[in-house]
Amino acid sequence: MIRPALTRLASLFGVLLVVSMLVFFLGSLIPGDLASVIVGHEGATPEQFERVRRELGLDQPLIVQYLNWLGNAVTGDFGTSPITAREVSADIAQQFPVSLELALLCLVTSTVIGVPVGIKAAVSNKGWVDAAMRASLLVMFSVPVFVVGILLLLFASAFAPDLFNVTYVPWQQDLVGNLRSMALPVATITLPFAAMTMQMTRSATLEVLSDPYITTARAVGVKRRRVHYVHALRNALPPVVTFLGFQFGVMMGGLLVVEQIFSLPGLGRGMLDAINNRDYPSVTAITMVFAAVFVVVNAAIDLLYPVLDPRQRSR
Amino acid sequence: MTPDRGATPTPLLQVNDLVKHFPVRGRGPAQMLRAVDGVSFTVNAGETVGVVGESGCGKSTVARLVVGLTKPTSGSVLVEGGDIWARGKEGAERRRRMQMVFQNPTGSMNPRRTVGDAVAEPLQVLRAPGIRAKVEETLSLVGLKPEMADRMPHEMSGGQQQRAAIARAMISNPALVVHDESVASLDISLQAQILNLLVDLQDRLGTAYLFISHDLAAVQAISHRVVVMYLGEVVESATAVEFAARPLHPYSVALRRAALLPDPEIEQSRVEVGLTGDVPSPLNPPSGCRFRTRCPYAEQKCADEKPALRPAQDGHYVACHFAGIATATTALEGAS
Amino acid sequence: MERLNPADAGPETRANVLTVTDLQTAFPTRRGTVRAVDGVSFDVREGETLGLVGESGSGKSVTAMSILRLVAAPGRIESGRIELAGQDVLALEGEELRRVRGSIAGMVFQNPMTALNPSFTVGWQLMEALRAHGVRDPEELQRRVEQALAAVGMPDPARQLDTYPHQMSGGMRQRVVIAMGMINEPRLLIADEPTTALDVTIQAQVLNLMKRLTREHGTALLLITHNMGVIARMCDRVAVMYAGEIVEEALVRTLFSAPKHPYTSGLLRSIPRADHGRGKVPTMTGFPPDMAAPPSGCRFADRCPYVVDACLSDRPALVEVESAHKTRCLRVQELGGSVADLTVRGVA
Repeated sequence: MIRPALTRLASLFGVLLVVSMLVFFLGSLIPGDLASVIVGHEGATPEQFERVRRELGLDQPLIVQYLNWLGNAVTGDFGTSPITAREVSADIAQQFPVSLELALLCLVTSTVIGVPVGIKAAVSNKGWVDAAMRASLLVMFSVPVFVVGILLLLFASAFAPDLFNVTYVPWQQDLVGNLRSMALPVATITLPFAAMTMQMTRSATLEVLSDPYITTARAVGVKRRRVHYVHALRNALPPVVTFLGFQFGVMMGGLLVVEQIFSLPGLGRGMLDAINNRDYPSVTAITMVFAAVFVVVNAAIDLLYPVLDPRQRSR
Repeated sequence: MTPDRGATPTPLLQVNDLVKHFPVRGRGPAQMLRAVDGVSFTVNAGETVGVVGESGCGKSTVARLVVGLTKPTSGSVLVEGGDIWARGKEGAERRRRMQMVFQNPTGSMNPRRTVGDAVAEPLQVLRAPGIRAKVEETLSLVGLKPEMADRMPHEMSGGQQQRAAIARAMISNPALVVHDESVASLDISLQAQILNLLVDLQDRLGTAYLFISHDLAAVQAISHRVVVMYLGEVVESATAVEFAARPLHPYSVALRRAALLPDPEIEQSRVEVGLTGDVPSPLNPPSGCRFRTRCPYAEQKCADEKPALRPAQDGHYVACHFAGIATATTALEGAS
Repeated sequence: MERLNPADAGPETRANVLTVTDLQTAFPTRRGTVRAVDGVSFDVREGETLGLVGESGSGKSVTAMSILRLVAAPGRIESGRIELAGQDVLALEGEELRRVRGSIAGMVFQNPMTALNPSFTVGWQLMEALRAHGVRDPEELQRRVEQALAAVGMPDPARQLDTYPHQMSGGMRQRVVIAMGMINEPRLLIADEPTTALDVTIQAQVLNLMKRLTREHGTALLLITHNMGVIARMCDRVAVMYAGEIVEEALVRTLFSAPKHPYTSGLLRSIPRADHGRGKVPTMTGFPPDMAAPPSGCRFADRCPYVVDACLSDRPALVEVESAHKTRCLRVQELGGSVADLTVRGVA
């Protein structure tokens, strides 16, 4: 258990390193640089421009710039935003919890809806329940997130304007208020993710249901529901959990649109602002955070595998 | 263990001290799975040698080594005296002298190609003139209608598919056909049909067989000589007649006893003295005689000293310090 | 376990634990309905072992699965009657049916590698079988599971509770499967090819175990197999299936020594024996019929050496020709005696 965990951890850092290089060097390909953002294009003399570049270290070779950045990043210092003039890490520290909460809530709701419905669909394979579920899945899946989001927003403001908070309330401040501000965004992304989770659960369960040990359980008199939700689900779980982990990464990255619609001060929105303002340090830092979340979650899933499937455990 | 009959010409197939180890990568230190560990035997032209043993004894690995599907760790496979892994054309030519029939006929045929194409495969030319005639001739040889050539594999029954697999093995007129559990998944009545077919083909064409099976009865029905394997080693080899009358190794005797006879008079009055326990892991085989952990006659010597495969009688070889201590008939004592 | 051992009573006086009457189980296929089991009737008495023997596609496994109504959709029991310890199984609904499963009839399946759930420990799965029938007390669960494991010859049962199936050998897993089938002390154990996937030396161990257990507990055994050696070793009576029908039924010794149906005798003669040397085995020609369009007359007619015109048109009934010996052959009276004698004379 220890050895694979360590190997996994090492490879995790490897992946992050590669991602950081990609982000850094690809970013340098974009025309213009931080100095031009700070100094601005008009009214600055080349001398001023050069001075800022020298101060920021932008006159040095790219590889040196990267190593400097990396050295600071390791200590949690991603530089200062030229737009807000604040530390990038401080911005992220504020944005990250918002996005994390959104993604976590979404993961919970889509799992709570998707998994049981998926099992139900598998059990009634080819029955009307299955058909109805698959049809609604197709609908939920085909409508773009921004359409659903805007529709929900419109409906909410028309029919229950007081029920939902339009501005973000941190949960540390007011938990209920927080949930009221999160409900609509969560609902918006839950729909497609629940649909995908359901589809995944359905196919994993279908596969398991035809396994002989399911017949064994039935032959010994285990209750039908228990056969489905304990005996079968436990074996369908590993692929579903892997999928959910992957989903979580995708969700974090996919928050841009939703955070924008519902004006939540999360990472997605931070990213969008940073890109619009050519806030290079922020773009790089947020990308690294997304990558780190993705990598860490997937590593965690890998470590979870032996817990879910005893055959993966060493003897 | 090669029966040394002085003037005998070079055997068709010689397997010399064949070893195949597979590295097993798991968590923890790398281990060696000793699938085949020093196996030697010969097959003469036109002869059937049966190899019998339980799962994990290495018999299927022997099959793959013999036809050259995998390279041995050490030791050699000789066809008419020449190594099948000799460089260049020679080795390839020797490997082509052998064909293989697998247990699962469905899995060994491309589902998208006709039976005729599958059968013609070993000829390595599909559209040459005369191929069609050859395919049809071979199909009728194995008891299939020539028009079966145009069918797809899934349009045939299991028995027919296995016949087609045999036709494919026979079409290039090989000197040796290796059967790896080729009748194991067939029903009794079909199994008998195929066994008889194999005997017929051998009588007419003089093909030699290496017949590998877990089923002692099937092996004895078809073989001239029998080789018994246990945990990667040969423990006994004898002519089929001799083996049917007097198996000498305690493991062979146990196999014989465990094989149920279609006779309730014998079976229902059987006094059971069967083997206990499971086959040990080939990752970590027992010292000395590998059978000793399950052998009712094992003594200290068996753990200390590995018994060599030595002649007990003419053409009868056995690897046991106490060869002959168990007899097949004791299993049936009490019966009549 | 306190039950009076029915095996002590004479076979005639024993009551039936299972009576199957005119069972029909069908599967819809692209080429039409396949009646895999087509009018099968037989019974199993308390404490006896009945063998159901046949080749693949004969309907023997579908018969076994029909008894506890475990036939997988789209397969369906079309008609017939299954009486298990006095209960009409086909009339049971939901909970009633579930309570019968495992407690009145237990099952043992063919492949021990797949018959156990890979995600749960052996102990949990055995306890689950007890919990399904109302055992709740943790101490009792533990005690009975350990007992069951000990009964099937597992070394150190208490330690095996936390073992996962993949950590066991095939023979050990099959012991667990048997323990699971027996743990609720059913009156009938249905074993579908219980040793086919095992090595011969392990097969012998498992058969001995089943024989001992069923005898000790007075459990009746319905043993489904294609292996005549297993039948010879285990059974009191045998029913031979061919193409969805029972073609012969007799006491085991009678069946082997004096078979009356040409299929039975053909089958018996085509078995190679481990105590015989090299030589040709007598065979039956041909294949079983296409079950989507079975012949209207005798289903064995096209492979039968004694076929006459009537066989092609008239479907023979299963009739009792001697006491406890039934056969489904139009010419049985005419051919007289046993088919085995005839074939020796007729086919050289």
